[in-house]
Amino acid sequence: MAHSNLPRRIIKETQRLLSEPAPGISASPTEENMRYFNVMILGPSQSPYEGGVFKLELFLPEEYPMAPPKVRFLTKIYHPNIDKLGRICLDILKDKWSPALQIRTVLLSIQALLSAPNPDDPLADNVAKHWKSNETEAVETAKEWTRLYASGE
Amino acid sequence: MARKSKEDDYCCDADDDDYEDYNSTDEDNPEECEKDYDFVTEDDVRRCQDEVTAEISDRLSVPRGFAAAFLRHCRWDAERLENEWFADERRVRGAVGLAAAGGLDGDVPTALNSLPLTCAICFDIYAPGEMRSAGCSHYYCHECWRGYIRAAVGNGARCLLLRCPGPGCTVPVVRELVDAAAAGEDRARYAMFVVRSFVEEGTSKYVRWCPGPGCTLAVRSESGSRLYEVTCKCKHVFCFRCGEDAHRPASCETTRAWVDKCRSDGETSSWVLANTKHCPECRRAIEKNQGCNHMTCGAPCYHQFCWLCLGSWADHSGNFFHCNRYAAAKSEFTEEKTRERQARASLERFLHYYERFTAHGASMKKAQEDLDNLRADGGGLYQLGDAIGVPPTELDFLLEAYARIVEARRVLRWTYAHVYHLDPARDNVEFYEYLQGEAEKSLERLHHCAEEERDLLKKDLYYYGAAIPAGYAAGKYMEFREKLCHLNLVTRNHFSTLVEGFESGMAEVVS
Repeated sequence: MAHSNLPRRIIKETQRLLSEPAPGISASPTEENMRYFNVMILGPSQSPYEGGVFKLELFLPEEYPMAPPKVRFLTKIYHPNIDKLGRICLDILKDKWSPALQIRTVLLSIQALLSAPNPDDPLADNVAKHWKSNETEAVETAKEWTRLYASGE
Repeated sequence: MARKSKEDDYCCDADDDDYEDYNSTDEDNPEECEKDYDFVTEDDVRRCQDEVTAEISDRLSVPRGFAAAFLRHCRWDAERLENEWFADERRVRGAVGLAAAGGLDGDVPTALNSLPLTCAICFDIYAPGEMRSAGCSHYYCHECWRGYIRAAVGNGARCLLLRCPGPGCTVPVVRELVDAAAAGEDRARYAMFVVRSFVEEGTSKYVRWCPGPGCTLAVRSESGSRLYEVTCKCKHVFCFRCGEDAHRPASCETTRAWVDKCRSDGETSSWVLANTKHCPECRRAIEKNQGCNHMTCGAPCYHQFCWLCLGSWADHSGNFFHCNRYAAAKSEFTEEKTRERQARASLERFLHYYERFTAHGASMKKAQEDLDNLRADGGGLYQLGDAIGVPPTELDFLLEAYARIVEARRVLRWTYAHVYHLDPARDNVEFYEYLQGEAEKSLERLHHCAEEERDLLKKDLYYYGAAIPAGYAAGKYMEFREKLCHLNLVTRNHFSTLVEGFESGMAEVVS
């Protein structure tokens, strides 16, 4: 692993992510680019995503940690705050970012977002509408999508 | 003694009368009454801001950085802050992210660590005194603070709302910490945002930054109520109400609509207009290198035409000046008239006005350049004075004529924005266009005289050189001077009627 230009913070964060992973979350950098991470998040229990394995990509821009990491879902997911391109509506990935946050805290926040969808601050309008008009049905669709797309194949 | 005091009284009365007369003419003449403003530099603004901040810092017993944060929260209104503070200190503190009461040591804008700690940003361990906090318990190393503040300042004026990086911590990062931790250029940028905030976010409606490129002056008006157009020391002329370029006689609303329209359609329009003028007689491509719209094609064609409408100039010099009027294509409303054709017609209509708006703007710029060149040391005025044999101070009338041209071009271009936004069903468009046409005609004559005939005069005098017949130069010069002064006067009258007519909304003025 060549990382002569990598800030010490990124090296330390990576080491800690690999040696003490958070429950239900794995993140490892690629061989070619130490700033690009392959991420997997398990669907939290008692959520419509339970039993699903969700793949994400995470990239640390040049300005990191002064600028937030860029994160995106690669697995299709039915969620009011995640659009069909996998982009995530989460304040700490935008204006609430602070350099005292870390990759780990970001991924934990995304995991929490799966447990608590917020249809009042939607990114995917139609999903949010569905969620607000008929939550039971929307949750069923989310479970269906989890079975179809996030079964860990 | 008694008599003398009577005389004094008399003198005083006379003065008062004069003063009143002067005032009343002021009100009649809009050009004169707009001078009730002065200029303040960034330093003046900073000084005033520092005074207010120091006073509040003293009165509330808080450090200056916090005083500034509270003041900014109250739009730099010290009185409002004091009222809110003494009514509910907790609320004011909470609004800027400070705890309900200062810490044990009171309010501290920045503190150093007393124990060795790990920086939560770079993960390195630092000895006591090598880290800072914003007064709370979150300490970061100097290097990370520098980077944090740099990123915030790079994001613009929002850096004035900067908080401690600690997740969930709301403690504000204020001036003292920025000055202690940030790099020199970031400190300077932060300071600039602080000063700008005082004018831009302050309640004082009577101060406005000059929007001229690179200008750092602010304009302060006396009353604010009637102030409309302001000429900054940097020569930028702008509207004090909306900050756009000066746009009389168009209103601020019309101007906003026009600027938006130009922004959305302007690109297409620029493309259509770019380099597309050909002589209507011989089809040669023509470049316009002077300000006036009277074009004369080169040899052997010599065709004279109007740059704007490409019509023969002969039609413009008599009573037929109508190139300012938009003649809608006379098409029958047949069923096959498609939406496409309508869209095209609406673009063409816009283009008509946009082209004239742009052309008068370009002429204005050229005239301003000519005026600057005339004024320059050893510039045109001296050369002309030399050729005629008069001191350049005698040629002030030429400067006045050029100043009139610049001003009139500005007014004229905005009349096109105004007329574009008129409603033919409601407004007497023809009358507006009549005023516009008359004014435009007089301006073209003035501009032509100042530009072309001045050139002719110069060439004439150069041609004779030392062999100039006695009295010839003086005669030619007097002739030119008289004509130009006359045209200047005529143009002035036309434009004051124009502005008055447009601004009063005026269909009834028809006489």
